[in-house]
Amino acid sequence: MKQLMFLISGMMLVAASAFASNVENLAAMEFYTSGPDTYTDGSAVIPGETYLFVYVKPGAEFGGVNTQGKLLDKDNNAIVGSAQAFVDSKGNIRCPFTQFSYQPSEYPGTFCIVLLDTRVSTTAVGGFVDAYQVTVATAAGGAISRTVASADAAGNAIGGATAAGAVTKSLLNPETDIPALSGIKTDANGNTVLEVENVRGFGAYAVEATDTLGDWSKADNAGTITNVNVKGKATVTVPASTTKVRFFKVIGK
Amino acid sequence: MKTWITLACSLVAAATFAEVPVIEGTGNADGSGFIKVTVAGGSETILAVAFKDCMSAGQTIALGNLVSTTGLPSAASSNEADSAARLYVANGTSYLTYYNDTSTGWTAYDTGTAAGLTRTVGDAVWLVMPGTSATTYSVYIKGDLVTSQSVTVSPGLNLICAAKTEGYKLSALTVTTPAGTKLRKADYFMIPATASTSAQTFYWDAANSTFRLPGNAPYTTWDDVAATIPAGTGIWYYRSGTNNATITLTAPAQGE
Repeated sequence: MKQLMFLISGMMLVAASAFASNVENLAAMEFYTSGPDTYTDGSAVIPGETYLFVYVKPGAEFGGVNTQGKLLDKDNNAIVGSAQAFVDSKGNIRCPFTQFSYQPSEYPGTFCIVLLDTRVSTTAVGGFVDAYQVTVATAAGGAISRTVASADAAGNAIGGATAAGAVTKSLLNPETDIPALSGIKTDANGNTVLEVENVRGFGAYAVEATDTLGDWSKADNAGTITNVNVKGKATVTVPASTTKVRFFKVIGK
Repeated sequence: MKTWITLACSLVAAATFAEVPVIEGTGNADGSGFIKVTVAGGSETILAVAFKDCMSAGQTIALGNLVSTTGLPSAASSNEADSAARLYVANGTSYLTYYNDTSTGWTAYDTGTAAGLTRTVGDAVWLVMPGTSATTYSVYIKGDLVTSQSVTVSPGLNLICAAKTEGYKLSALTVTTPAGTKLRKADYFMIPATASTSAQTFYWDAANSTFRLPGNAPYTTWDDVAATIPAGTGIWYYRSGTNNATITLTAPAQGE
């Protein structure tokens, strides 16, 4: 169940009416879905499921969240709010209409809705974030209000925004940049040099090492990767070991 | 940054997040690693192809990725290959020779090209070291672990290994349909000699459905007397039949 990715229902969307803020120099941002929202397996989103509203700086993209629901790219992404799925008067489960006011000159980037999958059973949420689905919108030029709503069946957002389309990602899917060891070398000093792929420059990763295969609970933290300069690849040098066998695994923190 | 953002809707609720701090890096669910094999100068060792290439979909690995050349004797050219560590890879009728070139690592003796040759997990290759036993070397074989393994052996002698990361007994292996009804002419395993053990040959005993040392009375099954095969090393299998056979592991492919 947890491996299932989310999908905000493809049948929704409410036309977004412009919302003019009554606060001078501020614009309004609206987040909602029209529902009924579903996960990718077609089952209904469970009431209480979490939606994140995320601001993305110009030129950047939404970098994803980790299992805790924390942003991976904190430099370019910011959570401006969150909401929980509820059952509306029509019986649809969806993201509630949620509104923020903001200063357009300071937030020229995009906003998006991120629906997390924290299902722990068919009726309960609140577990690890196993996947997420994001709908990204860019601002209409000169508009004083923007609306970010869930996508229609064609993946196009409706409202005062131009959508980049809905993107579905699973934290358990390689598409979400799950780090992996891509090479092992030894140097002249007996150190092990590990090549790691699928890292993100803003991510933090650790390498675990163990002499007892199959029991990673006894693994040592053999190295850490932070502030990777080159997106996608990194190396970690693990000091020489006296053991005859050694196993490694890279994890994202 | 967010301080001035005014939350205007009362429907916003706090997100519920789990406390588990990591995303598993499952590029290889079983991990990657190495086995260190100690060899002496002047020795010949059957090295196991016990790993596959990192992030490989199949169970193959390039020779150059499998065997680290770090710390091994090298030569500037094939003319001096005798002074370098060398790998011999059986190709069915003869051996392909690779020497440790100072510049390019494992290099084909005949063509001078870097060792892009791939081997399949379960194969084995010969490592031949120059010099004398006065010097010992650490040889690292490395890559992604495998969780299951089978080896197809063809008629004649085959170099094989179990992709295990600890020493193992022959009983960890199962042969699908061993061939031969006459001892000494049937299929057999041969464990090479080491510095402390002699070579052992275990023939297929069709009458008793087991492999055994010949000449023992009462005969002894292989697991009682067979030497432990060190991790990272391989063995011989002679296929007497006219068709292929399959050897599979009955124990986990790594760890015990």
